[in-house]
Amino acid sequence: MAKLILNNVSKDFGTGRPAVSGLSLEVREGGFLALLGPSGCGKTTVLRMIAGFEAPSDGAIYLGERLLADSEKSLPPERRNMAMVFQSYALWPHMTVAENVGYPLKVRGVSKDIHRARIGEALDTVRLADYADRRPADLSGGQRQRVALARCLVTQPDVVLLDEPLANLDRHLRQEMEETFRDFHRRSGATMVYVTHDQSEAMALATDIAVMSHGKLLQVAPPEEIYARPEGRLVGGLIGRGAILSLALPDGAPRKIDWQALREGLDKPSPADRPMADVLVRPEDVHLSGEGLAARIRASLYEGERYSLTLELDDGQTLRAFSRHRPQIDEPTRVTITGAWRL
Amino acid sequence: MTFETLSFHAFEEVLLRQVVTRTAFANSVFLAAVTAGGLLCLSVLAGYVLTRRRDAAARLVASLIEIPYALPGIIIAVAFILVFAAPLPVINVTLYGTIWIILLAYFASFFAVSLKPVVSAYRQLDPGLEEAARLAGASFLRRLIDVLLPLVAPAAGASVILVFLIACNELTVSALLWSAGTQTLGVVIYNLDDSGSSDLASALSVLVVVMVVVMMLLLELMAKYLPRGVVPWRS
Repeated sequence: MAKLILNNVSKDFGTGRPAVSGLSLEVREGGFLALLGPSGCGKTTVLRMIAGFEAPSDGAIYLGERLLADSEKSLPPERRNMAMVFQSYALWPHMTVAENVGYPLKVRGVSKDIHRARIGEALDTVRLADYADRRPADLSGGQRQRVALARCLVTQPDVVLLDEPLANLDRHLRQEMEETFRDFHRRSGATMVYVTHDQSEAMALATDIAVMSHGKLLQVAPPEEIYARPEGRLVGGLIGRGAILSLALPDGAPRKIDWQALREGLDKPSPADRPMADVLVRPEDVHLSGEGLAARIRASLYEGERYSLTLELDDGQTLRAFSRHRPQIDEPTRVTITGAWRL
Repeated sequence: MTFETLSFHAFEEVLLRQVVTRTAFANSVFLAAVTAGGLLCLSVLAGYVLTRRRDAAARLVASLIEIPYALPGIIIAVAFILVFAAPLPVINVTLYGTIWIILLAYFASFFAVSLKPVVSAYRQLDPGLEEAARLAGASFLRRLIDVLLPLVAPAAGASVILVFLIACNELTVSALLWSAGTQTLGVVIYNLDDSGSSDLASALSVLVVVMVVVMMLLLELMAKYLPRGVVPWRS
């Protein structure tokens, strides 16, 4: 096993706009990288290039020292020792669960005894040992995805690729499967690349998150870091449910902004010499109280554990906040903001 | 028609006295079986290529395959006569007048019939199924045998049976291409009817229907040894 390196990789399908452009990325050995971005941002193309289903138009992909693909030649997927979990599960309907899981071993010509033992082990890991003789059609969505995972498990692949594996499952099952994936990652120690458009999934699972938009890589960082210190407007808007305010800040202001500086920037009519800056305010930092900035509650959404509010400041900018109590729509209120981050 | 005129005489005549009947059955079954089997192999491979490659070349080949089916059989037959009347260059063999020219003409005529169900089966396959097999390490041949064939088998089964039945009862192509000893069932029935023996033609037609029914029964008996879904009327 080794580090997976994407060096300045581009992919152009000839549609006028490249699907992926100039993407450089390193996934450390045993790392769990989530590729996060809105649909159509090129994250699946990146995954398919790692797997070898697409060849990069430019740049190179390495696994450790070994060149997997560059613009001239590309190692076929069957020789990359990778495994993939598909959104559609991609289980072979004419084979039983055990045959599905054992197929990669059968192709490699592993002897019968080892073959059977490994299938048993893999099915045990995903708690499906009792289902070995069933057909995929007889299983539920979550069970099918676990079979697909077991199929990845048997060959000890260098890299496991997951293409929105939870997109077809309901919310309850997702949490259970997230647990299974985490467990799988811990046990196998495989390098994993996980494509998703769901940031809570990415946050919960990954050791690193790579945010993509329009074929470009915006930021790579651990989940906590990317949530606390996003780079730029796009990442700030994509990660979490923060609101982006525009306010006047003095030159050389620190990126972490406290209530004092924030209030100054918002309160006063902005002096001409101060440039406007984008500032990300997380809803958990916005507190409804008797003092602070004047605002109006524009909308509220009940989420079970709390209400999610949309507030409008006097100058027309929107904020998001949480509240434990049922708010009155269009009621004037005051908010304090305990922290913000300059993008 | 009355009970007095009812007899099995025509069947007797066709089955026992007319030598040409046996030749025709043998020829037609041979031609239909080889056409169906050969086109099955071609269709499984061509269908794969045509669904995976969606460029101009693939579209061109797809329409070339379809043209002969759209043309009347007589035109196919005339075209084959024109091409194969002279001995083949290099090997110096004349196909004209042999059963092989009919076989070739059948291949051209029925390729589209055989290909259509297979292509639509390939189109409906989730590409992930093959991609998963590729990542499992399976070569193309391996994937074809282990994954693709079982999945397109129902369509392929329907296509084989369809081609076999059409080729078995075919008339217009073989009508121009047959010669002594290479008559097909269609040709013999037509000739009998044309020479005034409509009773014999009818008897032979009934026998063809009986043959088809017997074949379907055989298939039904074999169904449990065939991959799932190959026999179209069994789900």
